[in-house]
Order: sequence, then structure tokens, then C-alpha cells
Amino acid sequence: MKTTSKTTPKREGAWRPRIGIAMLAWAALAANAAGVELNRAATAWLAAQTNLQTWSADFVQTRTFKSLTQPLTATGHVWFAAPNRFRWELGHPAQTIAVREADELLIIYPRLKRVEHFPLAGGQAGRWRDALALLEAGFPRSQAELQAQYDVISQTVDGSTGELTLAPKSASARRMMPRIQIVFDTRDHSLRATELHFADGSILRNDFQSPVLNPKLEESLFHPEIPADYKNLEPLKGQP
Amino acid sequence: MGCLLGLVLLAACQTTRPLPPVNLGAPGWTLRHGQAVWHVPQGKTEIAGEVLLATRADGEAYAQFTKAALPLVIAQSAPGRWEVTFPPQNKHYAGRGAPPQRLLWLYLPRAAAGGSLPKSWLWRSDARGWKLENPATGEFLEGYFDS
Repeated sequence: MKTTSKTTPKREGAWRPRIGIAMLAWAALAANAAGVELNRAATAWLAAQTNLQTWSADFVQTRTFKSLTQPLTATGHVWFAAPNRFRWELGHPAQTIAVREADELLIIYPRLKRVEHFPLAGGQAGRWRDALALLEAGFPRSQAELQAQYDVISQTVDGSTGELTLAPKSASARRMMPRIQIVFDTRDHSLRATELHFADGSILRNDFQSPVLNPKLEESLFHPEIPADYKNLEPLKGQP
Repeated sequence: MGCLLGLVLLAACQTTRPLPPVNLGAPGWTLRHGQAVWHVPQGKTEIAGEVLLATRADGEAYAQFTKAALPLVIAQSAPGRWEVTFPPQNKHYAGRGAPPQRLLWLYLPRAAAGGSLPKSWLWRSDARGWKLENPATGEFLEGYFDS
């Protein structure tokens, strides 16, 4: 049986008349969502995240575009270590590797022999920092952490599947990615999928398979050694 | 990526009906996957990403540039028509006739197929990869396709 809880308005949102009708409509939704109480399934899932120190899984990535009638799929592997380290590898062998270090996101292209550094702190990164940091979606450590970063738009439970629909609180991230869905198992509290909805209507869904809870992970996973012949770049350097 | 905003100054942009969504599973499409570095015009900014290039013998083409699965550029063309979207900037441009020369991505399918390019543009392709460059602006795409 599917249950859906509508968000309950608890406070008025801040309106910014200058940002246009579309953003106003979104702000209204966000205002309605702010302060929503999570249902029991979501609360239990978030509570279980405190037991998660490390995690790894295969994933099937499905990208849906308005310009294509059929989605594109790819596969890869992801590793996570609390509180916020992750490593995504896309392709077998990995063609693109995204690693979140303490204060920057590295995107490594082995075949291009190139590493791009995206700072996650400071004023340099702007909305790219926000958007790339959303690769962490699905790994909140607590309800407080989740609600510090996202407004809860809706929450559903359908059998053993729980689903949270979120909107980034950061306006710049929201402009690029207005909505995120997290799908989890209400029985074992495992993460099943994340779905990122972009402003252009495209959707990026990661369905996780063969997850392993609390595996022993080598620290080097999150501190990759960059070969000397790789080109290191900071694409955001000098950007406003 | 601020340089991308300079692309809004496209003289050829017109309001046209969007091209229909592409069915890459339909017969006749040739798909190539790879990676590339995009050196944006009039600057030093370079960004790497994944490339999907799809072409058909009838002149239809579709090119997509994504970064860690985030779409950065979607370029689509059909005989006599073109359109390009920059999702991070939420910008969409479309027009008829030859694509503007400031939209390098729309020329990648033509270059990869050995077609004619604007005067002075450079294209090379070998076992190591390919490069499409507009020397006048310094903009280039350099990458490879999986064999």
C-alpha cells in the first residue's frame, strides 16, 4: 500500500520578487516544505545511517534527456566513508573517477591523463561546487544534516520502498538541480537509488546493486596517487 | 565557465520549433562514446568530460558533453536546422542554416565524418585521438572515441 504524506506548512518562506515567476513558484513549494516532519520510515532510515561507517556498491546509471527518446545507461562502482568521503568510478575499467577529499573534489580522467580539482570551500567554487557536492546525495549522516542541506518536498512509502523527494536549500545548487529523490529499503535501511533532476529536465538515476555495509576500505581510495604525467587543472580558478 | 556566457551573443539565434527528440536506437545511427577536453574560446579555461557523438547518413547529428554525468552541452542538428543547450546556464539556442561558428560543438559531427569545415579550422584524427580547433578564437575540442 502506498502512503504519501503531504508537506505541512510551518512557516512562511522568503520571497524574492526579482527572481522571476518560475523561481517564485519554486520558492512557494520550498516554503511549504520547510520544517516538514519526516515519516517513520525516513526517520528510521536516517537513524540507521549512524551505523554506516563505510559502504560500497555497484551502480547502474541511467540518464534521461528531453532530447533523447531513450535513456542512456552506464555502470560503475561507488565507495563511501563517513562522514563525507566518496569515490565514484564510472565504467569498467574506470574512465571517470570522482573523489571527494576533505576540501576538494577531484575528477580524474585516466585516459586523458588529467585531474581536475574543484574546491569545496571558499568563494571560488560558486554553483559548481554546490552541484558537484550533490554527488554526495544519498549519504546524509543524520536528519539534522539532511534538513540543513535540503527541504523535504514529499515522502512516500510503498511496500518496502521508501522515497524522499528533496530540494537543495542552496539557491545556486537548486538552479542547476531543483529536485533530488532518495530511494531506500524500509526493512534493512539500505540505499537503493538516487535520482537527480536537473533544471533542463534531464534526470540522472543511480540504482545501487550488491551493496556492502561497513567494508574495510583502503584510505588510498580517497587519496588517489596522481601519476606524475597527469595534468592538474583547476577549471574554476578565476571564475566568479 | 563564465566564458560560456559569451556564447549568448550569437547573432544567428532565432526562435524555432525544437527539433524532435532523437531515437538513437533507431536504425541508421552510428554512436561513438569517448572523452574530450573543451578549451573554451578567448581564455585558458579547459574542462574535460564524456562525449557521446551520434550521426546518421542523412545529416542528422547529436552530440553530448557531460561531466561526471552532469550535462554541460547538448548539440543537435538536422539538415538545415540546429540547436544547442547549455544546461548549467539554462541556455538554449536554435536556428536554421549553417550553425554559428561560435558553436564548435555543432561542427564536431561534420568534422568526425570528414565533412567541410569553416575556412582555417583544423581537424586531425589518428589512432591517439582527434582535435577540432578554431584558431581564430583558440577554442578547441580534443579527445578520443572508444574503439
